[in-house]
Formats: sequence, C-alpha cells, structure tokens
Amino acid sequence: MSPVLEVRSIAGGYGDLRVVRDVTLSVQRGKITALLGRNGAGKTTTLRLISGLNRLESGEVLLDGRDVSRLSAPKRARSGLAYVQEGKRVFRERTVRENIVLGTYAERPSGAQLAARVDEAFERFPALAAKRDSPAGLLSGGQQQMLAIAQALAARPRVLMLDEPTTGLAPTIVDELFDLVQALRSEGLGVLLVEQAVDFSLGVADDAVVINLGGVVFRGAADAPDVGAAVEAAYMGAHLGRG
Amino acid sequence: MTVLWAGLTMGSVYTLVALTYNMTLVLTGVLNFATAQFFTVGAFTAYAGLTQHSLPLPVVLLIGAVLGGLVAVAEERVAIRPLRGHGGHTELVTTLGVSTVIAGAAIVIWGPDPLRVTVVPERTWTVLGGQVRPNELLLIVIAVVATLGFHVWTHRSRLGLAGLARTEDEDAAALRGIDVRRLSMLGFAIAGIFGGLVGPVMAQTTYAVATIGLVLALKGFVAMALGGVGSHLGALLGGTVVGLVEAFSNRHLGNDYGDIAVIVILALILLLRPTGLLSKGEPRLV
Amino acid sequence: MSSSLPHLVPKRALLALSARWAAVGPVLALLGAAVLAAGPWLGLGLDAQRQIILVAVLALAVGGLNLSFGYAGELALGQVLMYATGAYVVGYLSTIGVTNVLVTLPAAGLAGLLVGVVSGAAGLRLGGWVLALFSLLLLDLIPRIVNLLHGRLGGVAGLSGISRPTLGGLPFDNPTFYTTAIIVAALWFAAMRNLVHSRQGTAFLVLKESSVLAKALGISTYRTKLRAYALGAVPAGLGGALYAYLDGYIAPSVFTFELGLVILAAAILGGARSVYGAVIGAALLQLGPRQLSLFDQYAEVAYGIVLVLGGVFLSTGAAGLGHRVFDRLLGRARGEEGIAPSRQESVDVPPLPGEPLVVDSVTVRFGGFTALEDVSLRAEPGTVTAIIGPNGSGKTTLLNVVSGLLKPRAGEVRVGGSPVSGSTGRAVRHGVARTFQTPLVPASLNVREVVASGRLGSGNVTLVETVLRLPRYRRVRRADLAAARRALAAVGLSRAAGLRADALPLGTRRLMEFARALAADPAVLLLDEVASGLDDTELAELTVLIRAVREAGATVVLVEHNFELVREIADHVIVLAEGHVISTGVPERVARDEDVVRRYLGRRSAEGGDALTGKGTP
Repeated sequence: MSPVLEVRSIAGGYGDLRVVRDVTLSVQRGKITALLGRNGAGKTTTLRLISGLNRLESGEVLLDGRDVSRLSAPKRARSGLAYVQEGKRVFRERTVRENIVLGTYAERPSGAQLAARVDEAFERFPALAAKRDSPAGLLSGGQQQMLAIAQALAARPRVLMLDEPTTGLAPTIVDELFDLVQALRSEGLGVLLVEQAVDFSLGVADDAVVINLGGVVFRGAADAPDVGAAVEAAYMGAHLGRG
Repeated sequence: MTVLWAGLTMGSVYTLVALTYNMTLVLTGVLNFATAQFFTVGAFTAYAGLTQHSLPLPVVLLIGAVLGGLVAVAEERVAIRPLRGHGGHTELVTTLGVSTVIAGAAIVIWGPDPLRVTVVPERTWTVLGGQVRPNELLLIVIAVVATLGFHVWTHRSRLGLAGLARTEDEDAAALRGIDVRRLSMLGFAIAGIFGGLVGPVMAQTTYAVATIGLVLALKGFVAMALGGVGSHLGALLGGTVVGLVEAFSNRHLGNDYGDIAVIVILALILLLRPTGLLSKGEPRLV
Repeated sequence: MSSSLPHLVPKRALLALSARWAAVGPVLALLGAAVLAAGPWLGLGLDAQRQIILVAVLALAVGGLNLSFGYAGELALGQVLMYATGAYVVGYLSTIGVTNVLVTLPAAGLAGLLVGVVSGAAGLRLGGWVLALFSLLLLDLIPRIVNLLHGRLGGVAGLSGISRPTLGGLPFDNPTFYTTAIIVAALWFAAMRNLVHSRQGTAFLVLKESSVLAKALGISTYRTKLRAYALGAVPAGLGGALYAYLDGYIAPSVFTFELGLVILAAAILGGARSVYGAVIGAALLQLGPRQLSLFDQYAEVAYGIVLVLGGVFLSTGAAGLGHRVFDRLLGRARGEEGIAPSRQESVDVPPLPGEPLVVDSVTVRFGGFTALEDVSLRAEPGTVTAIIGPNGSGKTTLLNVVSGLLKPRAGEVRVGGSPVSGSTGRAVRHGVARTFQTPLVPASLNVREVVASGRLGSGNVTLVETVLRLPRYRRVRRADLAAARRALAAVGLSRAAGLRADALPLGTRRLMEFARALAADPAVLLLDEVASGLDDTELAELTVLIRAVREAGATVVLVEHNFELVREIADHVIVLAEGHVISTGVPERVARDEDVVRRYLGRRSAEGGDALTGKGTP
C-alpha cells in the first residue's frame, strides 16, 4: 500500500542555516509514525518543511502520491495536510467556535455543512462545546491543545502532523491525548508525531524515525528491539550509520 | 449650523480614510501610510476624466476604481510583500515611501496647485438651518454606509474572519489553508478600489491637490486612534469627533487652532485611554 | 556548508582587528573628526566647509533618530520639530542679544530635550506606528506656533538677521564656526557611542525585542523608551541651532515634512542601528542628490524611492552591510560549534544571598475569572519548592505575581520581609529573577550580552556616568561581565558566549535563560517549566544545576510538569488546582495524596503502572 505521506530526502532550514540536511520518511494510512531526536536535531524544522512553512531546498514531499513540493503552505493544507504546531497555537482572540470554523476555511463549506462540521468537532471534544463562545485565549492549556487539534481535524485532513502535543500538559490530559491519537489512527488518518516524551511516542506509534543533526539515523518499527539503542545513541549525541 | 455641516463633512472624509486604514490592517496586518493617497488617485482621475477630458461620470468612477486598485496592488507587491517576516517598522518606512512617490508624481504631472473637481451639481441647500452642498451630504451618507458595510463584512464573512485570524498568527493561519499573500493583496486591492471610487466625490470638497494626501493620512489616523484601531464603528465616531472639533475651533478660536485642537485631543486620548474610545482593551498576559 | 571565504583574506588579522574593533573604531572616528575639524587650515574651501557643516547638521538629526528608532525601536518622525525648536531658540536668543555659544547651544539642546519629553510622554503610551504618526502630526504645530508668536518668531516670512554665535564677546569667523560645528557633532556621536555600547544600550535592545522581558529584568519600559526618545531630541535641537547660525535666517518653510523624509531616508541608508551610519547616511544624501538643482522637481519621488528600496533591501543600511561583509569573511555569521552545552559532572555556583519568599493570601482575577484564590506559600533559602498542578491551575499566574508582572487583587508577596507585589522593579531589587516558559531571547544580542542583561535591574549607573565612562560605570560593567562569565560557566555554555543568541536551539536557550537569571545573583530564582523541551542528557545537567543553586543558598521555586524531576530535586511541593492550593508537603507525601492523584496524576498513574509505555493501553 502506498503511503499517504512520503517525504524524500528533504533539506532546508532558516535563511543560510540549514537545519535539516537529508530526511526521508513516510506515513501509512491508519498508522502513526513517530519522529524522534534530541532537542535541536531538526524535528520541528522537518515538519515546517513538510507543511510548506519553510522553503524546501531540495527533496520532495508527496501527499497520496501527488508531489506537493512546489505548493505553498495554504495549498498543501487544502490538499489534506494538517499541521498542529508546538505551543497550543490557537487564535486566542477568536471564540472557540470561530477557531473551528477557521479550520474549515479551505473547503468553503455551505452553511449547513459548516454547522455539521462544527457539531462534529464538539461531539468529539465535549469540553470545548461548553465554551463555544468564549475567546480561545481564556481556555486552559489542555483545552487549547485540544482546540488546536479540533481545528486541524475540521478540515478532514488525510495526514495529521502533531508537534510536541504533550508539552506542558498535565498527565490526565496526556492520557486523553493518547486515546485521541489512537482513535484517529483507527479512523484511517495517517499521523506524524513529534514528541519529546519518548515513552509516549513509542507507546502510541507504529513506525519510528530517529533523526540527528538533520539526518535520519534510524528507521523501523516502533517496537523494533534496536529502536531504544538508536534513540539513546541519538540523544546522547553519538553518531550511528545511516539506518 | 453651517459649521456643524462643515465639521460633519470633513469628519466623513476622515472617517473614510480611517476605515480604509482599518481594512488593510485587518486583512494585511499593515498600517499603510499611503492609504490616503488612494483617494488622491481617485481625485486626480476625476480631474483628468471630468474636467480635462469630459468623460461621463460612471466611466471616470470605473477608471478611478481600477487605477486605485492597481496602484494599491503594485504597492503591496513592491513595498509590503518583500518584507514578510522582517518585523519592526520597516513597512511604515516603505509605505511612507510609496505615499511620497505618489504625491511627488502628482506634482510632476499636475503641479502643486489645487484643482477643482465637480462630480455632482454645485448648489447650496439649507438643511436644519445650516448651509450644505449636495456633494457634502453625499459624502456623509457614503461614510455612514461604508462604516456599516465594512463592520458587518469583517465580522460575518469568511474572509473577514480569516483576516482577523491572520492578524493574530500568520503561520497558524497559513496552516489552516488561509493564503496570507492573497489576503494581503486583497486587503490592499479593496482599499485601493474603495479610495479610487470615493476619491472623486471627496475631491469636490477637498479639491485635487498633491499635498492633501499627507493631511488626510494624519487626520484619518487621528480618527482611527480616537475610535480604536481596527474598529470600523470607532472610525466613524473618531472621524466625526475630529471633523467637528476642527471646524468649531477654526470658527471660534481662529484659523491656527483647528489643527492644534486636534493634536491636543489625540494627546489626551493617548494619555487617558490609549486603546481608543471603542475598544475593550483586555489585559494581555505573558 | 558555511558561506565563509576563509582563504581570501588573512583570517587571523581580521579576527585580531575584530576583537579590538570596539577600541579601534572610536579612535579612527575621532581621528577622522580631528582631521575634518582642521579642514580650514588644510585648505578646505568655504563652499566645501558649508557642505560639511550641512552634513554635520543632518547627521545630528539622523543620530537622534537612530537612538530612538534603531536602538529603542520607536520610529518617531518628529525630529524636525526638535530641530525647528533648536533653530528658533537660538534665533530668538539672537534677537534679544544672547549669542554666547556656551549659553545658546546648551539652550537649544535642552529645548529639544523638553519637546522630546513632552511629545514622547504622550506618543510613547502606545508606541509603534501610533508614535510615528503622532510625531508627524506634531510637525504641523511648527507653522501654527510660529504664526501665533508672530511678533517674536517672525511668522511665515521668517526670522532673519540671526547673528553668528560669540565666545567671550568675540563673534565666530567662518573657520571657527565650522570647527565648532564639527566638534559639536563629534561630541554627540562620542556620547552616543558610549551610550549604546553600555548596559543602557543593551536595555534599549532588550526593550525593542520584548517589553515583558524588559519588565521582568527590572527595566522600566516606559521610562526607558522615553529616555531614548528624549535623548534623541537633543542632537536634533543642536543641529537646528547650527543650521540657524549657518544661514542667519530661518522660516517655517524649512521645517517641513520633506525634511523629515530626508532625515529618515538618511537613517535608513546609513543603517538605523548604528552610530556612524548616521554620518554615512547624512553624507550620502547631502553630498549626493541634494546638490542637483534638477533634483528639486523630482525630489519627493526620489526620497520616496529611497525609502521603499532602503526599507526593502537595506534592512541594516550601509553600516550593517559592512558588518555582514566582515562577518562573512570571518565565517562567524552562524557558528555551528559551541552550540551544545559542554558536559560537566559538577557545577560551581558562587554563594547566593537567598531570602525567604512569602506569598500571603494572594488572589488574582482576570475579568470575572478567578485565577488564584487565597494562595499562600513560604519558600526558604537553600531549598527547592516545586509548584505543580493541572493546566490552567494558576501556576504561571503565581510566578507572574511573584515576579511583579501581575498585581494581585488581594494579598501580598514578600521577599526577606519586604513587600514586592505589583512591581517588577521592586521584585528585581529584592533579588527575584526568573526564566520563561517560552524563552525570551533578544535576537540582536550575543549570548554573553543576553546573560549580562540579567543584571540590568540592579546597580544604578547614571547616564552621565555611562557616557563619560566614569569609575562607577566601569566597576559595574566589570561586575556584569564577571557575573555573566560565571553564570555561563555554571550552565556549561562558556564556549557559546560570542554566538548570536537566536542561533541557539530551544534547550540551549533555556540554559541561557537560566544563566541570565543566575547572573543577577538571585535571592529567589523562579523557573517556569525549565525542563520542558529538554532531552534526557540536558535534563540530567539541569538537575545538577538546580541542586547547585540550592546549595549556593538561593530560594528556588519551580513550576514543573515532569514529576520525576520534581521528585528528584524538590524539598517541598505545592499542588494547585483551579487556583487553590490543594496539597503541600514533601514530594512523596504529595504523590500519595489521593486528591492530588485523582485531580492531577490521572487514572493510569493511579493504577500504579508506568502509564505511557506499551501499546494499546486502554
């Protein structure tokens, strides 16, 4: 089966600082790929390159087999790629409902469709329904993270990229998130997960990719016996051969 | 009463400029100093079309709208888009530059003297005991209608919501499929077309003159700051206050005092209620 | 990978020059000024002298703009107003017979300062483009006021017959006046150079980057902005005065919006965040286009184009271009070495003057929402107190109250017995230092300066001491640098000291923030989720570091989600939920508290297993 997201040898960074040198990975439909690596290894930059927020210097990004490398970030979003950035980035001054409506922006749904989409989101996240008309900035951190995900899901993406979703969340919320990600997988969504908490990441993922210094050092199943060693090596800064 | 009408008329002029500032601010996130020059484009188009070439009014309005839109889009392309991600006050510098180029070009082409423009027939009516001209009443009506229209559009439409979202977080907006560049272009285009369309009517009051852009840019800004940045209803309130204060000061205190009074009012607002009259001013947290 | 050109230029020589640039640059500039000042005796013609005076006059106005715009980040276009003020002050003084240069020039500078303070006080409330447009609006006051004071200032027709300045009763001849103008300009730029290369200059740059950070460092944001803006008005006043003397005639038609454009264009061309860039920009404009008479008709179009192109292409101006070329030759634009902290087993933190922190029944409300209700705690020197709790329970709010960023509705915060609530300045003076959940790092500073900036709130050094480099300034500066060095060594970032702060990855930025707080010799150290985003190695180092700070005697308070870390280093834990303290005690006790487990740790943890491992856990 062809992967829903395929990333081939991408490179790029910020201005003349090339953070990602050569990253190849893929995400299967209904599977979760964990992207691991120590702080500064280039995980967030990889997601930014895939999403189109940063310019690709080389390499390709394929969505359902279609090359989207030359599309802008909004166009990639419209093609079914959703990226939830680190740090609970919701539109703080807009209401919860408006945030979800904004999630559907790309599709221009009709009034009835839009209402259905909003109801759907509130069904999945009942805690948000209670606060539908309050500004998102007044939500708790956990609720903001949920809203950010709800917003991304409102676009009915094919791939969801989550960047450090558990950072700064209380354990109970982390548990909810764990359940949510698994539910999304069973619904057929492909998930690319960047997460500092290795236990969380490997616990939920099917596949794992470990990067270090902007390049891939391990690629394999998340429960492969050597993944722990690869992660440890990457985190301690030792160099491994390209996996 | 005549002073009241004069004040309301100039108030409408300032309101219209303030509305246009707001429009670009919401959609593009840029305070475009050249905003008032879009009206200048309309004004000189009216002079060239109506007075110099005797074209019919609808044609002139159409040309004004197209020219205004083109100038605005060109400005966005040259002075705004290359700056994406730079931050700071660079946009203020470049849009000030564009404004100066437009004013300079108008001087080169039409010279520095005020030129008369007649869009609607010149006559004087007595309304509520004061003298007022049809073009002045028309301007007041346009200002009120445009305020309401812009207000509803920003808060109800899909694009308006997208603009408000972009104002908060550009990257996050792009990731939701909002094309920030298109939105930015659109913000300028709407401002330019609006200025090109309304400029001719405005010019019958202000004349077509290269230096008016600077005056309108500043008084329009006062109107916006007074009402609350980003608030269309605030623009109407602010514009009206500025127009009235100016008219009554000039009438009762002397010709130099109108401008001084406006500056004093702005300074007072900045000191006492810096977020403007019509904004909520919620506290921001770390 | 780096874009350096290492073999084209002898790198070692460049490095040596670069290291001494701080000392060499001003000497070269002073030499240049001395040669210029001696011009009339070296055969410089009258016309050339006039042009150079005009450059100096323009450069003075531009220098003022650079201080407020380039360094403090506030674009004010009102320089023309101060310039006009200076001109009319000496003009008016001349009409009443006061011509002594030692009286008139200071009067002009002071008048500029006064106008700066008054206009800045209103405009700086909002800053940003509000200030920019407000200051432009003020230009309109010039003709109005001149007109209203027609009898004294000559009205629209202008004020003519301004006599040359005198000294000891002797009127200046042309060469003397020329030399005076050069000296005035040189003095200003020397003062400005000393000002921006000092903790004051760092304060401006910190403020430009983040007002929250500036406040947390104990910098009064409004006063600091006002200071930059008002000081920038002084050279404009002096420039105006020199201009009035040069021609002996001034009129409102000189002090126009167009002059404001010229000043801004020169600042942009030369590079606003630079000292000498002002001179370069002024010279480029004055000796270039302003000479052409043909230029007049197209002047506005040309200035407009300069602003557009300058804004788009020359984001750092001519001066920045020079720096960039230099950096590129050295290949040090973005260092790749030294970014990761060096590994270390033990950490050396000098003794810290810990004080007990008392939070006494604090309540905080935002609108109708109660963020903290009657929260009390006590943290002792030499201990680590951890604040934990679910999201939205008020942890960060509590830190914001302790550091003075938020004023509680009720209750009080005391450090060593002194109340500090509601004022970051008071909190900083009593030794409160903090880090932020999202590190706040001014991009334009290097790591050493960022860390030294932790001390900006202490050690009052006056402007005069700074500008004249008096002993107290030197002493404080030495202490700042020594503290920065110690703090960087403690967190293992010594090798990164010279790197640009924004080139560091997140984890290293956290350590840099830690070092910045440490450099302040804190009595109370507040750490806001300092471990999030760190990997295991960094976490281990952080643990060692926090322990060392505790051993050094500081009162450490941390907000943290990583309960393992809390268990390892905290002496005392306070659990917040929905703005209330629900439990306190040693970590083990809190971990057994059923209410805490239910509300905070969640069901999996309550079952006792290591929650987040193993696929398919329900």
